[in-house]
Amino acid sequence: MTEERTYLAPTEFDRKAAQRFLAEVLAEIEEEEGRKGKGGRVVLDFSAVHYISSAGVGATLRLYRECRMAGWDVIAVVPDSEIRAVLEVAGIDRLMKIVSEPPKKNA
Amino acid sequence: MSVAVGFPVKGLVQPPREVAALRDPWDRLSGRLPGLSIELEDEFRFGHVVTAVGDEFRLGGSIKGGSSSVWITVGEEVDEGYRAWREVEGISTEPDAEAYYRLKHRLSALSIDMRSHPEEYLPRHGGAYQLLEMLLGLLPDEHLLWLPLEMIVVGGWGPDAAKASAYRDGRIFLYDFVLGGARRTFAGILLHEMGHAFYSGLRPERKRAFENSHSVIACSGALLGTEFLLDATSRVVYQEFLVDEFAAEMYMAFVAQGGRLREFIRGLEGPGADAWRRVYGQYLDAFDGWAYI
Repeated sequence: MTEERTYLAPTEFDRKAAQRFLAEVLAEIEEEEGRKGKGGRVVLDFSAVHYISSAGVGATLRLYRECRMAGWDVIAVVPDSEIRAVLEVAGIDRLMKIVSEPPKKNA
Repeated sequence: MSVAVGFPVKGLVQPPREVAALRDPWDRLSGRLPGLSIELEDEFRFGHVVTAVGDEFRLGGSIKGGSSSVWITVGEEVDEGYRAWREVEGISTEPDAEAYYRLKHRLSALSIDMRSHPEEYLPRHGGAYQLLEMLLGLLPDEHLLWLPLEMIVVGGWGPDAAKASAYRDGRIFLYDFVLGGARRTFAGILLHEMGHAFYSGLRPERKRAFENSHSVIACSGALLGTEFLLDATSRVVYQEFLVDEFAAEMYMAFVAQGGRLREFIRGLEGPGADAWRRVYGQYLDAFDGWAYI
C-alpha cells in the first residue's frame, strides 16, 4: 500500500505562514523517510487557502522539489479556481498534478 | 574573432542596461518608496495588484476581473505603495503608435505577425510595444528567421486561467497579466517564451543531445537561477525537472546575461561542465554565431 500524507496549506499563505508550513512538512517528510524509506504520495491541500503570496508559491515549489528528492510524488488539491489560477500563473501545474477534489485513497 | 567558452563567435552584442540587469538580484525599492515593505514589493513583482472596491482597498490578483475571492483587505498606505512601485517598475500605459508600427514592420519582414487582443493596436500597451521592440532588437534576423515563430499576441487572457504567457503552435502569447506587471518580468518572460520556440525548433537529434545534456546538468545541480516573477531559487526548480523549461530559461540567460552564463560555465568541472559546453554550443548555433555580453 502506498503511503500518503496530506498537508493542509494555511488560509493566508503569506511569507510567515509559508515558512512555518514549509518547515512543518519538510520535518515530517524527513522523519517519514528515516522510518519507512523512500516512497509514497504527498497531498498538498489548498482547500482552506483564500490568499496566496509569492512566498506561498515559492514554498510550494520548494516542497515539490524536496518531496521528489525524497522519493515522494506530489499532488495539489485546489478547489478554488482563483487560487488555482495563481498557481498556474507561476507554472506549478507543469510540475505537479492539480486536482479540485482530494484523490481517493491509493488512487 | 572572439571566443566564448571555447567556441568562436561572430561578435558580442551588448544588451541595454535594463535587460542586462536580469543578471543581478532584483534591486530592492522597499525603504526608498512610501508604503512599500519588502513583502509588498515581492507581491507586486509577482503580479499582485491593489484595487479599490467601494471604500476599501484589496490586495491580490494575478487573475482577471475585479471580483476575486482571493484578495485580502488592506489599508490606503498599501495602495500608495503600489502606485509608487508601479511608477518605478511598471510598464508604461502611455500610447506609442510609432513603436507599434516599427515593430510590426520589422516582424512582418521576417514573416512574423503581431496581433493585439482584442484589437489590432491597443494604445494602453505603448510601454509593452517599446519593450518588445527593444528585446526583439537584440535578436539577429537570421535567428528570428530560424525560430518556429509565426505570431506574437499581445494582451488577452489564457484559455483556462490567467496564465502569464505561453508559446504554443508557433505563437507567443503575452497575456494581460504580464502587461500589467514589472518591466523586468516582461523582459524575462518574453525571452523565456522565445526560448520555448528555440527548443521547439531543434531538430530531433539535436533535441535528444540537448535532453541528454540537461539530464547531466540537472543531476550535477549545475543550474543558474534568475529572479523575475519569482525568486531565483524557485525558478531553478522548473529547470531541474523540465527540460523545456531549462531550455527556455537558458535562452533568456544566453541573451540577457551572456557574460554571467559563460562565467558560470567556466567555473564548472566534470561532466556538468562538458554538458554545459554542449548546451552553450547549441544556443550559439541557433544565434548564427552571435553571443551576448
